[in-house]
Amino acid sequence: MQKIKQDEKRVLVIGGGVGGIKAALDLSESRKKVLLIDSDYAIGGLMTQLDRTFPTNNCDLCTVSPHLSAASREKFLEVSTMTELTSLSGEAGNFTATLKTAPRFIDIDKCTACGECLKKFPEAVRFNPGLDPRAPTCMRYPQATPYAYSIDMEKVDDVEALKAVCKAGAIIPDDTEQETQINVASVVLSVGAEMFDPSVLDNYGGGKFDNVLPGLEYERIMSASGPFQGNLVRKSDQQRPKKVAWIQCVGSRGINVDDVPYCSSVCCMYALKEAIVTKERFGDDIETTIFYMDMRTSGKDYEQYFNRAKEDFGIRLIRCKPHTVIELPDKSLEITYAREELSAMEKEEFDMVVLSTGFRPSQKTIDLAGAIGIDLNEHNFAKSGTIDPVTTSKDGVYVCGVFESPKDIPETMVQASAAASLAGMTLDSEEWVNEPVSLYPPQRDVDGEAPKIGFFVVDCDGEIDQALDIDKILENAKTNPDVAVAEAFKLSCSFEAMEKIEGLIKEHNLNRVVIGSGSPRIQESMFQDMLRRAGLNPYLLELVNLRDQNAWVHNDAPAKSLEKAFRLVQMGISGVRKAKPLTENMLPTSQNALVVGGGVTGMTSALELADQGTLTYLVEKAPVLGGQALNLSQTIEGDDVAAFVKGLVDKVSAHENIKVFTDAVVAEHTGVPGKFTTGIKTGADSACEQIDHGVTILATGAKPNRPAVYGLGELDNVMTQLDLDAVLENDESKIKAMEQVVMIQCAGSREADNPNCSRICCQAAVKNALRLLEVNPDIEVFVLYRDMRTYGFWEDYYKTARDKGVKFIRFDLEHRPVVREEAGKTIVRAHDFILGQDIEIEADCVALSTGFVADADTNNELCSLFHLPKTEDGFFLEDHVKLKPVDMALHGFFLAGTAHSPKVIRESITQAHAVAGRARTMLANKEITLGAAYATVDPVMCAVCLICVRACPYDVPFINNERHSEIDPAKCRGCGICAAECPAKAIQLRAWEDDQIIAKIDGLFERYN
Amino acid sequence: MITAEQKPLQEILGYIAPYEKILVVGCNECVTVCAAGGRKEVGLLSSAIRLNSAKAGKKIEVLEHTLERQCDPEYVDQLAELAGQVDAVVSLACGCGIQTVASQYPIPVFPGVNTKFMGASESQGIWAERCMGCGDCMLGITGGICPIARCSKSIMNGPCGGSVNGKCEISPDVDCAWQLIWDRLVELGLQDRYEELVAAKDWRPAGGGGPRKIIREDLASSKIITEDNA
Repeated sequence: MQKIKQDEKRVLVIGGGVGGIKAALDLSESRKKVLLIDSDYAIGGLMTQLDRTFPTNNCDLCTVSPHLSAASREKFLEVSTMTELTSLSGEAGNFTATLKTAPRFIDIDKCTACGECLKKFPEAVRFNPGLDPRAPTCMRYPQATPYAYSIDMEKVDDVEALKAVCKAGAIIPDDTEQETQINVASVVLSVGAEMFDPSVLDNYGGGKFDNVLPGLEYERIMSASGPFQGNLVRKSDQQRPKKVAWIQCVGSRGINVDDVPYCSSVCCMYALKEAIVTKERFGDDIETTIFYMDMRTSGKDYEQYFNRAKEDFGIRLIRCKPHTVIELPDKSLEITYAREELSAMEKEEFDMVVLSTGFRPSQKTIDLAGAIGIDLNEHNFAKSGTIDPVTTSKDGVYVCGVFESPKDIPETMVQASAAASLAGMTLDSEEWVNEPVSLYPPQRDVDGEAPKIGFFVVDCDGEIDQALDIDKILENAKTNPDVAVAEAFKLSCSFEAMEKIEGLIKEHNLNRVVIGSGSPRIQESMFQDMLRRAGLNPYLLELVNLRDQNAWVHNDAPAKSLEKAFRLVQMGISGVRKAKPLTENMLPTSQNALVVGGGVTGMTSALELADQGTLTYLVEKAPVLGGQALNLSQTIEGDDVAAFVKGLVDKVSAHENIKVFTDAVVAEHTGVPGKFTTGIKTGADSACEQIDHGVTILATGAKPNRPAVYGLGELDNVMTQLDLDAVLENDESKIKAMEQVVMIQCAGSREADNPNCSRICCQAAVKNALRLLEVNPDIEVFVLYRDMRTYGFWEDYYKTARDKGVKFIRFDLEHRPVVREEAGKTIVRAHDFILGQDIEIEADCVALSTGFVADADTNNELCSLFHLPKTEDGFFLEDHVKLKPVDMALHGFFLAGTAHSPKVIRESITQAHAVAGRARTMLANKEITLGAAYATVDPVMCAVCLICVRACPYDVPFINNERHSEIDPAKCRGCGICAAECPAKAIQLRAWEDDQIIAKIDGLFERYN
Repeated sequence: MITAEQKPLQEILGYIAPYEKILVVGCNECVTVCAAGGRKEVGLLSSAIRLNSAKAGKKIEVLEHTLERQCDPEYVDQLAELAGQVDAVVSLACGCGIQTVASQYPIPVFPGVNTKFMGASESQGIWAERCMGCGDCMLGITGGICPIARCSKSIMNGPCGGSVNGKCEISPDVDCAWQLIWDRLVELGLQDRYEELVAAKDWRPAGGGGPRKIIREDLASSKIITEDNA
C-alpha cells in the first residue's frame, strides 16, 4: 500500500517521463521538496522504450543527474506511481491537489522483483507494450523504478496461492484505491503525448501487415530488452531484413481525416538514427531508405548527423511521401511512390517498412487539463506562453516537454529545467545541515587490512552481455588474487544492483571494489556514492569500462574482445589494491552569480536569480542591454519584441540584486566551481573590478550572419531577413510599392564552410512573407528553399503562407539560385524541379535567410579564459547534448540562448529559465566538495624548474618562499598535467599515483591462468 | 644554466652492452630543469633499457638514482653503496657531473646526455644559448646582448655583411646579434656606445690559455690547495 506524505508543502510534478524526472531531480537538487506522480506502474515514459538515443547512440538515463546523491534524492523526492491528479483547487503558491492512487497489490518496499509470482500467475500480469513475446512481465523495461511488480487482482483466482509464491511477503490482496490531499505550491505538467497509431490509416498497412511497424516498435525490436533480445529480424519469419524503408510524416503534416496538420518534430532525427543504427549494428549490407517531404534536422549539430547518414552510412533518401504500401505473398512489402524528376509512379519491394509516426495528445491529458483548469491550443496541446513557453493559462501551473508542443529529448530537458525553476520559486529551499556527513555512515578504517576485493559487472541495458560472455569474465576475475566476490547484475544499472552490491560489501567485509560497467564520466559518482553508503571511502574503487572500450567497439572480433575484457578487469583489480582512502576538502560557496551577456537570455536569467535573492552580476559587451533582440520587431506569434525587451531592461536596471556592467568584458578568472573570482573590465579602464561568484551563466549570443552570397552587399535590392524586418517595421510605403519579393533560404548555412542549419530562418521567412502580404496583399512572394523546417506548430504558419499564395520553390546545392542585376532590375534565376527547367523571377527585394553564426572572437576569448570547450563551428559545447543540454562540462558553468546554438527568442527564454534553475541547484549547496584527486608536491624532490608553473592550464602551481613548487588543493582541478611533466618526479596526483598506474600496467600483463 | 639533451638510445645501449648490472644516475639541477636528466628521465631511460634487453633476450639489471647535484664530490659520495653493486654507470648529468662520478668510482661511467651550452629558457621546452663563458664579460657595452654567444662569428664591432633584415645569413631563424644590440642601444638612448671600438679580444680567459680554474683563497681550505698544487 502506497502512502503519500501529506505533512509538507511541495511542488507536484505530474508525469514520470524523462521531462518529469528531470524537473523532479532539479527541484530536489535545489533542496525543494517534490512529489513526482505517474499513472503508470513505473516511471520512465517513452524514453525508456527507445533503443538508443542519437547522437551518441547509447542509453544513459542515469546521466540526467549524476551530481545528486541517492541519499539526498530520497530526502527531497517522493515518487508515487499508479497515481493521478483528480482535482486542483486554490491558487498559485497554495494549491490543494487531490490524488488518486490505484492499488498495486504489492508492497513495493518488500518486493524484490524476483519474478516468482509472474512465473506462476502469468495471466495476472500485463505485457510489455508493443511486441514482447517473452516471459510475461509487467516491468516495462528492465531498470524499472520502482523496481517492483504489480498485479491485476481481477485475474487472480487463488489469492492464497499467489501469497504463498511470494517469498518476500509483498502481496497485499486487500490493497485499495487511496485518495490523498496534499498541499502544493506549484504544479509541473510533463504528461507527454501518445504516439500516433497508424492502424487507422488505410494505405500503409500499419497494424495489418506483419512487417510494417511504427518507429517506436522498431526501436523495441533493436533493443536488448526488446522482443528479440536486440536481434533485428522480421516479425513474419524471424529473418534479418535486407531492405528497410522509413516513411516520414505518417499522420503528421497532413490534411486527411486522420492526419494532424502540425509537425511532430522528432521523426526525422529518429528515422535517421534508426537507419544509422541498423547499418552500424546489423550490417552494412542492409539497404536503408527514407521517404521524406522535408528533412527537418534543425537542432544543434543535427545537420551534421544528417550529412553523416548520407555520406558515411549511405542512407538512401527519396523525397516523396509514398502513396501506398501493399503486402506481397512472402510478407515483403511493395511501396508505390513518385519522384519529382520522373513523371510516373514507381514500385519497389522492401523487407520491412517503418512508419515514422509522431505525437498525439491523449484523451487522458485533455481530461487532466480540464481537471486542472488550463487552456489547450487548437491541437489539444497545452496552450503555452508565446514568449514564455513553460507557462500555462493558469498561474502556478507550468508545462514542459511534448505536452507543450512536439519536441525531442534535449528540448524537453531544457523545458523541464525551466518549468522546475519557475515552479520552485514559490517554495523555500530546505536548510543545509552539515552534509554530506549527516547523510552517510562513518567510513570504515581499512588501513592495514589485506585487500579484499569485490568485482561486479553492472550491465545497464544488456549491451555488455550482448557482446561479451560475462560469466567468463567473472570466472577470470575470480582467478585474480584477493578477489573475494565476483558477481554480475545484468540489465540493471539502477537502485537494485547498487543495493545488492552495498549488501555484498558489508556481508563480505570488502575493502576494495571494482565495477565493470560503462563510462566513468557518468557512473563514477554513482558508484562512489554507493561505496559511501556501504561505509567505505569512495576512492577505494576502480571502474572498468567494459561497455565503451569493449562492447561498443569490437563487434567484429568477439574472442579478442573477451581477452581484452579479461585484461582490463585485471588492470582494475591490480590497480584497486593500491587504492588509498582519500579525504575530500569542503569549501563554502559564493552565493552570487555571474551572467555574461546582457541580451534577452542573460537578462531573463539574471532576473530570475535576483528575484530569489541571488546577487547577480550581469556583464554586457555593448554600451546598452538588449543584444540581438534590439534588431527584431516581432515574433512569428506576433509579440512586440521591442516592448518586451524594454520591459526587461527596465526591470533589470531597477533590480536591487542585479549589478549591471555595460561596455564591459570579462578579463580575469580564477577559482573553482562554487567559488570563482572574476575580473570585469569596463570601457577603456585598465583596472579590473573583482567579483566573487559561485556559478557562471554564459548567454553571449551569436552574430547575425552576413555572407557574401547572392549579391548581398553588392546589389541594392538584396538584403537579409533582419533588414527586411526593419523595412516592414519602419517603411510600409516601400513594401506597398513592391510587386515581387524573393526569399532565398539557407544563405550561408548548410554549406561546406558552415554545415549546420541556422534553425530560425524558415520561420523567419514564413513570418516575413505573411507580414508582407498583410501590408500589401497584392505582393507575390517566392521562397526558394532546400527543406522547409517549420517544426512543431510553425507548420500552421507554413500552411497559411501556402494558402495565401506564397510560392515555395525548392533548390539543391547543384541548382543554387543566381541573383543578377540587369538594366536596373534584380533578377533571380532558379531551377524548378517540377517543370524540369530554369525560371527567372524579377524581384523588387531579395531577402536572404542568413541565420546566425557563432561570435568567434568572443567565444574564443571566453573559452580560453574559462577553459571551456567549443563545437567545431565555434558555439559553446554543452556537457551532454541530450541529457544535460544547458550544463557545461566544467561544473558551475551553464549555457543558454544562441551562444548554445541558433534559436528563436522563446527557445532562448526557456533556456534562460533552465540555466537559472540549474544554477540554483548549485547555489543550494552551501559547501562544495573539492575532488580528492589533486596534485601534491614533494618539496625535497622539487628542482624548482618551473615546468609545472608553466604547464598548468589553470595557473595553480607557484614557487613559494620555501623554494619549492606549491599547489593549492582548493584550486587544483586534478588534470594531472603537472604530474606528468615534472622532470624531478616531485609531483603526484592523488588517486592516480605512479604506484597505482604501474600496478595497473602490471595487471595488464600478468597471467593468472 | 647548463643545457643538455639525451643521447640516442642506441648509443647508450652500445656503451652498456657488455654489462649485466648498471646504475643510471640523474642530477636534480640543470639537467632536471631542461628535462634531460632528472628523476623522470632516469626512469624513462631505465625502462627503455629494460624493455630493449627483454626484447633482445638479454639479462640486465638497472638501478636508478638521482643525486641533488653530480658536480660536487659530497653528493657523488652518496653513490658509493650503489656503485659497488654495478658493473657500469650511465650518468645523465652534464659533462661536469659525469666526470665527477667517473673520478670517484673505479668502474666505467658513460654519458647519457650530450651537454649543449649555457642557455636560458625562452619558454616552456625552448632553451637558447646566451653565454660562452669568455671570462671577460662585455655585456656592459653591448646593451645586455652578447655578441660572443649570439653572433655566429663572435665579432666585436658591428655586424658583418651577412646581416639581412635583422637576420643572420646562417639561417632565417637566427637573429643578427648586432641588429639586436643596435635596436637595444637605440631603445636605451645609448647609440653613442656603438661608436666605441672594441679592441681585439684577449681569448686567454675564454679558455685560450688552457683549462680554467677558479681558486677562491678565502673559501678554499688549505688541504685542497695543497693537494691541487701537489
